[in-house]
Amino acid sequence: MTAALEAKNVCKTYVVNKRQNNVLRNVSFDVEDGELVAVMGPSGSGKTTLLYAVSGMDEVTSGSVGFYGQELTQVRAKEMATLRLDSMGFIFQQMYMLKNLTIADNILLPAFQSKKNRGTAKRREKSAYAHELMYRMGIAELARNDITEVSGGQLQRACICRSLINDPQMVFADEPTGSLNKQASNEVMDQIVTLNRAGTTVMLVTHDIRVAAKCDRVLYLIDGSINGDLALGKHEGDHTLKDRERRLNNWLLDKGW
Amino acid sequence: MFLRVLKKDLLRKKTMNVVLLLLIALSATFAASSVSNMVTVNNALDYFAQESNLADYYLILQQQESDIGAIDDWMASSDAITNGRSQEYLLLTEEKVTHDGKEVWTNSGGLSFTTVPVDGDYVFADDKRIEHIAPGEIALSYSICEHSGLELGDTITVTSGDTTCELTVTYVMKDMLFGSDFIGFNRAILSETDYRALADEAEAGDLRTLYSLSTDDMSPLLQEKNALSYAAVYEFEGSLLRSTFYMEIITFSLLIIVAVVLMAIAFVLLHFAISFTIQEDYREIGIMKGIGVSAAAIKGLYAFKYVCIAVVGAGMGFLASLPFSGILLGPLNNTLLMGDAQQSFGLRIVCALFVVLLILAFVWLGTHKVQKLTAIQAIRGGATGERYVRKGLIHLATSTRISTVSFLAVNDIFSGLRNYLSLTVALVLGITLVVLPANAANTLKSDGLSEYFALGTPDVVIDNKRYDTYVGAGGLQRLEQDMQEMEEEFAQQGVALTLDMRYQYNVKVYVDDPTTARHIVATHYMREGETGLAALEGSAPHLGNEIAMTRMEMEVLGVEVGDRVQVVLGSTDRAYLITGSYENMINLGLGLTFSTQLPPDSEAFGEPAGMTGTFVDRDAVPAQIEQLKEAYPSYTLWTAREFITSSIGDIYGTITGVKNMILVLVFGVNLLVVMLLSKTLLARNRGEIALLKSLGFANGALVRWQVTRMALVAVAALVVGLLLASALNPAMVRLTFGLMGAPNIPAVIEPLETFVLYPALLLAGTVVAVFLSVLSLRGVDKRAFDAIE
Repeated sequence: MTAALEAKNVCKTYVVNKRQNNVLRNVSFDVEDGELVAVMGPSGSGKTTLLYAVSGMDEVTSGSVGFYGQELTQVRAKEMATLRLDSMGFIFQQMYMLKNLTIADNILLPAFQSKKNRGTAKRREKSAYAHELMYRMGIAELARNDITEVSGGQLQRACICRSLINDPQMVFADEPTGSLNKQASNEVMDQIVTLNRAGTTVMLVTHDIRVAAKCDRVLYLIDGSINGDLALGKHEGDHTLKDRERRLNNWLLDKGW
Repeated sequence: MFLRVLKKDLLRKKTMNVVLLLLIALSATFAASSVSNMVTVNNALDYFAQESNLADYYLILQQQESDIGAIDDWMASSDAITNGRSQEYLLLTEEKVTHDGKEVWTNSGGLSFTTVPVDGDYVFADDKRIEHIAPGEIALSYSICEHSGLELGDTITVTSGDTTCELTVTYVMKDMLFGSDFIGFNRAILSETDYRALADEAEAGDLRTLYSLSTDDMSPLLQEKNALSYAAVYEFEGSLLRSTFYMEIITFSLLIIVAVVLMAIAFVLLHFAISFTIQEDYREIGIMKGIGVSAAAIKGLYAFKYVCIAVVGAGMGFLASLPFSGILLGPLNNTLLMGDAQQSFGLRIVCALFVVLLILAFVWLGTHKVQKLTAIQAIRGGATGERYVRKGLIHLATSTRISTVSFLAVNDIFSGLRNYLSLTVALVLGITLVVLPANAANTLKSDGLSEYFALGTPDVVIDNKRYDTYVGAGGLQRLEQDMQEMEEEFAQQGVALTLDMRYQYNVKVYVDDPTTARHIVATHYMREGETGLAALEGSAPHLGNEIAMTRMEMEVLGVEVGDRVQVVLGSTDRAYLITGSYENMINLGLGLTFSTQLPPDSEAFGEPAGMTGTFVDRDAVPAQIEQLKEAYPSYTLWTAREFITSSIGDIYGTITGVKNMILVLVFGVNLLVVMLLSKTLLARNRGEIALLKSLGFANGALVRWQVTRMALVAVAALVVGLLLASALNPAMVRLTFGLMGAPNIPAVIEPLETFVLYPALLLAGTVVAVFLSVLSLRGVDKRAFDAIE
């Protein structure tokens, strides 16, 4: 398998009031193409910082990040923007969307901005694809709704649609179910697993064992360093989920969770 | 607490506060300066008139025994005249008054000389009445000195017959009677010795007598006067003299409008700033309300900041108005006797306070939302619980042909029109303020304007320095002969043209009762072809007993086209049929025009008022004028516009100056508004910018989004502004030209200037200001999307 993401000795240091704060310390790991990887760890361990650092959302202080063979630390800001637009998808804990646009327009925005989709024909194709995604996510009837008219779960599914609209090679998700209730959380996670099964590499940050148990692999981060790497294998269905959760839980307890 | 909140807020919203402060300061400066200057000029005119001891009625007569005798007898016997005086004047044509070999400028082709006035119509220098002039000295008006480049100590040469006097300019005088460019008569004051030396050599036609008559009741005076038989060169009521300073006042009127517009822009910005501040602080307001702080106290907290800004801004405006007023009044100090009228500090303070009070009232009303919101609504960010709010009118899914950046820009505008109100108001009012005076200026410089000065549309106006020979017995025959000879001579030079002469008579006109006759100026073209009748309704007069009359004169007389009026021309009193009505700006729109068929009447006193020429080859007018200037250096040649400017002063220059000042001001205010709005919206959009960045929008695309949004609003506002300006054009024409007698003159619009240059300037300013203001979005962190509201 080829590596989708290769992080080597990634460090991230913030300097606040002349005080150096090392949030990430020589973090190295790989994410294989098609893998679904969860990052866990206690609050303040640097999970979100790691996600943003390896996705090019934030600059690393030192180290290197390879994204499908391309060294992100060497990419200029404009090329990085193109890369994020065309090759990466992002899902955030809060369902951030532009308030003046409908659900469908929010989803279509990155598609229409991409140079790959210039021209009326391409745009029509993307519009159809957006509807297909919304249909798959069960929110097709909300396409023309305002973002204030739908529930949190529906909005997060719309965010997932937006992250997928440009067929990214990899999706980064920062606690995608963090602000959802249990039912909505399950629905969203099922969609992410389905997405992964369709071939999209996913790296997500979560606190939720039930979410992480559906992932192929779990990285445990503590004090800015990777403290453990548990391979759970592909999630084959809900009948194995309890076992995976128990196994993950035990592993996490061993790590001091 | 107030001071703590104020300090925090002043630091947090520096741009907004500075822009508001500047706008309030500008409003106060313009309001205080223009209002106080208006009052100052009005007071100064009253003071000047009082100090000058002006009369109520003036008559200027050529010294003919019968006329002089009639007026002298009337003055001696009339009960209506409370005081009457007369003074002799010597009129010398321009070529007889020179400085360093060049003719001294006058606005009527000649300069009248007299001695120091002793009983009234006084003149002043250094704000003191001139009571004595020594032999060898001369006092000239500021206007003459300015146009001729004369300074104190310069020597001018005056020739009358065989006598030549070298006179030193000792006084640059202020003269309410004949000191304005608007009145077609200039005077110079000499010593008794010099005057007599020159006057003794004068030809009879060069001497005039000015009668200054005072009365308690104008009606009987006019009735008695109309019963007399005389031919006046010029006569007018003393009250008319104030209006000769009309252009000085119109500048300040325009500046008052500018002040009002600036205040309107300041109010809209204020509304925007208050709404924005309150929206930003919803949570704090909610908490304050929740813990029991009264709405009035919270409103006071927010109003306090604007009170401080308003007081400081108005104070700055008041201080700035002192030198600004001085700058504006500066030129008037040369022509008007100001007295103590400049010390109107109180009025300036009142204006500045008025600005503060207006702003306070507006702030109090603007913070109404604080009162309206419940605590929980405020904590929820102003949301009332209503979930459904339809926003944009267009959808990306169906807008497949426009870029996402353009779509976002358009969608933002439709989703929050109120956000752009301040920019819209600033640009709509701004472009209107620029375009209206520009149109007025373009109308003033247009070729068609000469029609409104009874010149027709000639290519050239010529003074052959023989105008004085066309007055009196045989004058009109000499004129006709001269015009023929000149046409032949010019043709030999290779310049073919046809000449005509606008001749002016002072006539009396009445409908039924001769005692109600009005003295007006009548125009008579010597030759067929030129009618000189602007905005003619009906037809031009063709027969000897037909006339056209200005609409304003017809209104005064209560007659219409088709009616007959009696016109007294010289010794002839006969009925004339009015065939048409027209407009012109000679004598403030009052007058009539005879047919070219009117037989020349040497008994009637008339004056040549402009020899006009029309070239056969009208494609090379400037070259032919230059050719004639070279061939006839003693002649003075003007284009029609130059001639008008030389006659009435440079109104075009005055209005253009005001327009340019307004343009600079509007441009500056627009920049301030744009910067404020851009920065504010940028702060409001910070979260969305971060989100779009995280989705892969490059900085360039985000800058284009912000710039496109403002540019679209600017374009729409400019279009609305231009439409408004077009709708207001007739009102502008009435304001500018109506008082001069041509309320219906068609405004001349230079399409490139009006519809391209000014809008492009303002649009370019807007785009550059937005661009520079939003460049800071490059520093917005991609992860700052938690700032999304």
